[in-house]
Amino acid sequence: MEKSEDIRNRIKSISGTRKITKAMEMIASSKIRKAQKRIVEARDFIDGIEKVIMDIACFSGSIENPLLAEPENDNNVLVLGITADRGLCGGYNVNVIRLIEKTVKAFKDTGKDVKLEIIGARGKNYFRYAGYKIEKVYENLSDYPKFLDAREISKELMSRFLSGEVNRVIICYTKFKNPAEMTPVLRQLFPISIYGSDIYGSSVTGGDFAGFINRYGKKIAAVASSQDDGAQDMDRSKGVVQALIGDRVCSLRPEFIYDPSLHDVLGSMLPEYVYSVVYGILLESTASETGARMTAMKTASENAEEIIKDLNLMYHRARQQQITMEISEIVSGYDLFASAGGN
Amino acid sequence: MKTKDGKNKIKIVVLTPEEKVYEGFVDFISVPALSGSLGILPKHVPIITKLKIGILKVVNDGQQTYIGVCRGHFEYFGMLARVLTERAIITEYDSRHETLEELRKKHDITQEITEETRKVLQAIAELKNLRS
Repeated sequence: MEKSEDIRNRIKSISGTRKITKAMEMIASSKIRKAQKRIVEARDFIDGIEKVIMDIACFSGSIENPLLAEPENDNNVLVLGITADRGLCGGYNVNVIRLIEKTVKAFKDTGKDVKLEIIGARGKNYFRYAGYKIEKVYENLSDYPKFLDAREISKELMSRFLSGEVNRVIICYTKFKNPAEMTPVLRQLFPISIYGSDIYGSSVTGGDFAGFINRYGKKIAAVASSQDDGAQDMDRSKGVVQALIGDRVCSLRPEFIYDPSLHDVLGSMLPEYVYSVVYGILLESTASETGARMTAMKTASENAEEIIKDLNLMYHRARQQQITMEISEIVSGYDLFASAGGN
Repeated sequence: MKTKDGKNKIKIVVLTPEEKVYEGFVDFISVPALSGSLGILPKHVPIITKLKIGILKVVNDGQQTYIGVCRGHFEYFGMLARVLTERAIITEYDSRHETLEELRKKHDITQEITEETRKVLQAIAELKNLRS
C-alpha cells in the first residue's frame, strides 16, 4: 500500500486540477449565455435578409446573379473547416476534423481538385501533421468572432469563386443546438443556395432554389395573412397578393420599386447575405466550442471529485494501518524490553 | 398593420448583425435612401432600396425617434418595414451630426482595416510562395 503522505500529495494535486476545471466550467457557462444571445440576434438579421431576397425572387419572377449560378463544371472545390484554437473541449475538435477529412476525401475520390482552408490552430496542427496542403489559416477567431472577420473571410472566398478559381465553396462547421447537443455539418456557401444548403453526411448536392421559393412562399402566406390587416393574403409562391377590394377578391401582382435598380439592390444584398451567414457560422462554432468545453469541464470536475473521494478513503486506511503498525511495534518493543528487564 | 386600438400603423424593425436596435409600430418613416430622403406612410407601394450613411427618422403619435444607420437595405412591404444595416445607433435630434460623424469615422476605419488586412494577407501569401 502507498504511504499516507504520497496519497495526501496526490489528493492535493487532484484538488488543484479540480479547481482549474471548475473555474473553466464556470467561465464557459457564463460565456455560453452571451454566445447564445449573439446567435439569436444574428439569426434575426439573416432571416431578415433571406426574406428580402425571397421577396425579390418571388415578385420579380426570377433573380440572376453570378453568386447564384450553378457552375458548369465543379472540378475545383474549396473546403473551409472551422475548428477551435484551443483544446480541452471534449470531442468538439475531433468530430469536426473527422467531417472535414471525410469531405476532402469524398471530393478527391470523385476526381475533384480540393483546396483546403482552416480556421483554428487545432485544425491547422492536425492537417499539417497529416500531410494535407492548407492554403490559408485563420487563427484567434474562435474567442469572439466579429462581423468584420466574417466579412474578410467571405470577401476572399467570394473573389475566388467569382474569378472562377474555385467552382464550389463548402464550409464544415459545428451547428449549435444547445450546450449539450451540437452536430458537425456541411454547408454550401457558393453558389448561394438558401434552401437545402445544410448538407449532412458526405453527399453534396446543389440547392433547389425554385423548391425553396415554393415551400417558403406557402409558409410566408400563412404568416402574412395572420399579421396583415385582414384584407391581404399573400401567396408568394405565385408572386401574387390576394386583396379584398369592395366585396371582390382580386389577385394583384405587387410592383416593387427598386432604388437604384433591381440589379444593384441584389448585387449588394447577396454579398451582405453571405457575410451574415459566415458570421452566423462563426458564432455557432464558438457557441459549440464553449458548450463542449463546459460539458467536458463539468465531467472532469465530477471525475476529480470521485477520485478525491476514493483517495481520501485510501489515505485514511493507510494512516490507520500506519498507526496500527506503530502501536504494534511499540507493544512488541515494550514486550521485548520487559522480557529483557525480567531476566 | 392594425394595432390594438385599430389604427393603421407600420411595423418597423431595425436589425444589425449584432443586435436588434429598434422595433415598434409607427405612423411615418423617413429613410436615408441612396438617391435621397424617402418618406414612407402606411399603404406605401412596396419598395426595396439601398441605404447610405444617414439618419432614419420614425414618428409615432407625434413622437420622433432618430436612428443613425450605416449603409444597408430598407424594405417596405405589407405594412412591414425592415431596415438591415451594418451599424445603427439611436440618437437625439441635437446629436444627429455627432452620430453621423461617428458612423462615418467607424465606417472609414472599417474600410481601412479591410484594405490593410487584404494587403497583409497578400504579403504573407507572397512570402510563403517565396519560401516554397
